[in-house]
Amino acid sequence: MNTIQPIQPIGSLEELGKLKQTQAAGPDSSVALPFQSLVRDAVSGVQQTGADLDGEIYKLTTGQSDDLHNMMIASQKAGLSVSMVVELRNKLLDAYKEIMNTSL
Amino acid sequence: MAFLSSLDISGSGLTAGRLRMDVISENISNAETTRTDAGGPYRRKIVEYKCADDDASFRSLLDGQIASSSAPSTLKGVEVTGITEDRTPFNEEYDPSSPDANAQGYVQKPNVDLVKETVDMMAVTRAYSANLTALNAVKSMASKALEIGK
Repeated sequence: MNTIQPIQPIGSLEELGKLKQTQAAGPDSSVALPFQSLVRDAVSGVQQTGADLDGEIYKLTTGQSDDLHNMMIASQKAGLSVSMVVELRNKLLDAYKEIMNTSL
Repeated sequence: MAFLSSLDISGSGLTAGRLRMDVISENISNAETTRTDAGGPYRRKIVEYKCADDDASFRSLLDGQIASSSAPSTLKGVEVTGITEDRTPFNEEYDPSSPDANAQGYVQKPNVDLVKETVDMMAVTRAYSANLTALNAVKSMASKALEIGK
């Protein structure tokens, strides 16, 4: 005999409900929007890789380190993280334009 | 950024390869050295490698368990634990005119085999290239991932 499966709530819509709640709590709520923290984390990651690259170049040029490859790896990391954030920005702008072009 | 830590694994291999190259260069340059501070001829040096992922400190284990829901972040590559001396006996050479000759006229020479060192040098060069290839592959994979949907 088959049991009837109860209808499960759709996960993504639940998330939307939570988002609404945080927005309803007002701008003074300490809970940061996921979007905001996402962008902040991405930018701080880029800053971190840039600072790492600066440190490696400084150590190499002042003779504190003799590992050439660490500097090259740091530079590749900085380049990759910048291109990731640029890609993120393009996606966000695309989504924003898409919404703004919605004809009512 | 976490996805960039894959590059550090190959980076540790590059660092270890460079150190091994330094040790081989020292072995080659001291292939005829009969006097050292410790007394006696130069002893060939060997690099000890250790897999760096079994770090048993409490903090690293805890971090590993917390992060285990996401990608395994405990992979750290290789590390050099020390440089030891080759305990094989010295080569003896009959040369009574040498100032380091003993009463029988024999001189103790370092236990460095130039052919062996040359082969080791080739192996290190190839291993360095292999690590670089792996690193470039990881980098191009990340670049390709950024092109999804283009």
